[in-house]
Amino acid sequence: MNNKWLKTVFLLLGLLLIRLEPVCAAPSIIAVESPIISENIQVENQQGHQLSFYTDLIKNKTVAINFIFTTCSSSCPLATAVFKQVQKQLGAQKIHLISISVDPNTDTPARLNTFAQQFKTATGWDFITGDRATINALLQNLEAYSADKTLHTNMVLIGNDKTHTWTRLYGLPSAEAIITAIKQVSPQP
Amino acid sequence: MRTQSFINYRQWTKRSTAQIMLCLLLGYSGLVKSADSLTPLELQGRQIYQQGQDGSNVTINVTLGLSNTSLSATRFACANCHGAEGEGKVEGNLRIPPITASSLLATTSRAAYDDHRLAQAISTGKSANSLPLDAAMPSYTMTKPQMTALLAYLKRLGSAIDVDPGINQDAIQLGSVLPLTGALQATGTLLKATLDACVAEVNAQGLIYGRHLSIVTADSASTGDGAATATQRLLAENNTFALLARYADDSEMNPSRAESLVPDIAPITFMPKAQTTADAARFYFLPSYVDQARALVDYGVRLPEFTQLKSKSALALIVGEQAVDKLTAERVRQQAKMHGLIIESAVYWQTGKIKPAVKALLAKKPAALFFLGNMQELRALNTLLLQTPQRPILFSLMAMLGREVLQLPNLAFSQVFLATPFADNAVAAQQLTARLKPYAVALQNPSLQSVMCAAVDVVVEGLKRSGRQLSRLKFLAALEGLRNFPASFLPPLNFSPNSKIGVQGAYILGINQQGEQISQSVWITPANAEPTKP
Ligand code: HEC
Repeated sequence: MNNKWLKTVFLLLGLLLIRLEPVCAAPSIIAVESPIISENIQVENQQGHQLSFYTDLIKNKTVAINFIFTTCSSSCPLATAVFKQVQKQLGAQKIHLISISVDPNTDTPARLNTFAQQFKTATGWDFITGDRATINALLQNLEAYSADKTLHTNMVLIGNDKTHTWTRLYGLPSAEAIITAIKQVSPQP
Repeated sequence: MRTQSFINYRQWTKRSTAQIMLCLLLGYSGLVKSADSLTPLELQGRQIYQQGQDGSNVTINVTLGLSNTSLSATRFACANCHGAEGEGKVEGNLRIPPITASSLLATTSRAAYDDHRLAQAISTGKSANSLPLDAAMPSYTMTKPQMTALLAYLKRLGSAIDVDPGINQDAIQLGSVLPLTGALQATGTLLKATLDACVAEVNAQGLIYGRHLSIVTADSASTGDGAATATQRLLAENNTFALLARYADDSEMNPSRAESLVPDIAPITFMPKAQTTADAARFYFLPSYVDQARALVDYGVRLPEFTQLKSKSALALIVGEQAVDKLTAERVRQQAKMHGLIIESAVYWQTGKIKPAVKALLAKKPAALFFLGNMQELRALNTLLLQTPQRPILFSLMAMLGREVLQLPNLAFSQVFLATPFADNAVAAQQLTARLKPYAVALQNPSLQSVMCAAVDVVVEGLKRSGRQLSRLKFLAALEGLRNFPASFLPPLNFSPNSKIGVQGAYILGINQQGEQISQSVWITPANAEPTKP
């Protein structure tokens, strides 16, 4: 338990130190408890594949999760372009990216696929939808639920299931900030 | 309704250069001209603001402060963030400021912007005080003339004259493209009269938020090229709010990016384009050949005549010469496979060489033929069959063959099943007749005439839902919300952000050997096992 607490403190310090350049208002950074994700949450990705959110997407992986919807024209393309850059810089082995639609009624797998293709995403990046109730439950598990999709909080959840280290970057974090956080949560070699 | 006639759609693709008109014959029935309107320079700027491009091949790029990457600006048009009228918005915890002329001149939080500072903000992300703006605001790379156009427009953004083309104080101008000369002149003229009648009917009923409708119909000269040219010319006039019931050619359905935001209601085609963002402004009323053919397969495999014969050569495919026939055939195979039926025998039409191929196919004695081709090809097939004792069942599409198929003397088929999107509906026929009567327009081509009036109805509904502060974007959003909208002989239309094809599937008409229609199925929506592309 102490161990975990220490890790959290270090993570916090580490994350605070690296955001020195004043390019933009630094997103607030906090280390957080691992989200508790029920194992039986079944979702669909942009290829229409049925997946268990925990087993197929989170278990034993380092992940970065953002929250988007395809009819959102301002922050979502930005957040997606940022993820694209993260993927390009780190490669799919180091990070599994997940974009969860907060508007599952509209965002069918086909629609998410079109959206993903506009950003030429590579494998190792799943766009997630499912039935409304399941996605809402998932969003609640991840503390990313908001009743009005246009008010969804811009936030990136970054974590590693093996080391149980998680953090949240609020606002629209830069690719650089996300990469640094990913390195922090990844198991050290 | 045996009199229901349908244009043989294929005639359309026969091009005759002589018929391509040098000048457009515009059938003006009222012209919206506004003295106070945006200049061409401002309009170019408006397009950059709304779409991140100006229709030229000089692309505009953005650099995102958040990811240090350069991307096309089309995904990052100013309007996406700052709003169509520059009003700004809050999305999540992202606060996007208004950038109308008055807000840029305000000095509450920083110095006022002038052209120089504004260009600097747009291209380098520095505020009027030369401080870095929030990294969510992209930096744009564009040419000097493009920047000049954008700056000119920003002065007009959200003002009374900053409205979409074709919107005036007291009128909304619509445009159509129909074959008013050439091979399809008779049909085109009838459809124009129908369209004009339905618009006149709307105007007779009153104004829509103080505005009446006017419609300009350009002539396609019955060719695909002519239709494309006429559409371009109509839009170049910058006076058309929306296109409707445009008689489009299969090959011409891909307008330049510049037009991507022009509402295009009920284009007459059976080849709707895949729904990409650029097609978001197009609302189809007619189902694709593919979906009609798939509905026909679903219907066919359930027929008692057919379930008895599940032998491998029971169903043969005969595919016409055109690319669309082959494409449709591929989807017919997939649909059949979904029902556990592998189509083994298939013949691809090749003028001159077709006889031996068809003979070889018929030697296998197929119980049914799925025919995807034109009337001429069907006639040749019928003649070949008449020389044999075989009388297979025929499956085909009315939209491919035209109404002539019902007049074929000496049918060489025991039964014919034809897919069509138009129902045999006496009530609808009566209603349409009554609508057109005051304008002395007779019901001669009910299906297509009904599409003309349904297009007008949908436009009116969209305008009513958009409110007085009309814009193309609001109008398009309103149309995306249309559910179960009555459309005469077609089933009710349904649109959503995900589907711009109002109806999917077909009715199946049963025809006996005497050429008499003996049955009409309920509407069949094809079963889906759509392969998802990896
Ligand atoms: C992805 C969203 C986005 C797009 C696209 C975008 N902006 Fe911005 N823009 C912003 C945000 C957010 C701000 C606020 C920055 C801040 O507060 O520091 C901003 C600020 C500005 C400002 C400064 C306003 C002020 O009061 O200081 C101007 C001017 C501006 N944008 C113009 C444009 C123009 C012109 C375009 C298109 C060429 C454009 N923006 C495209 C998000 C965007």
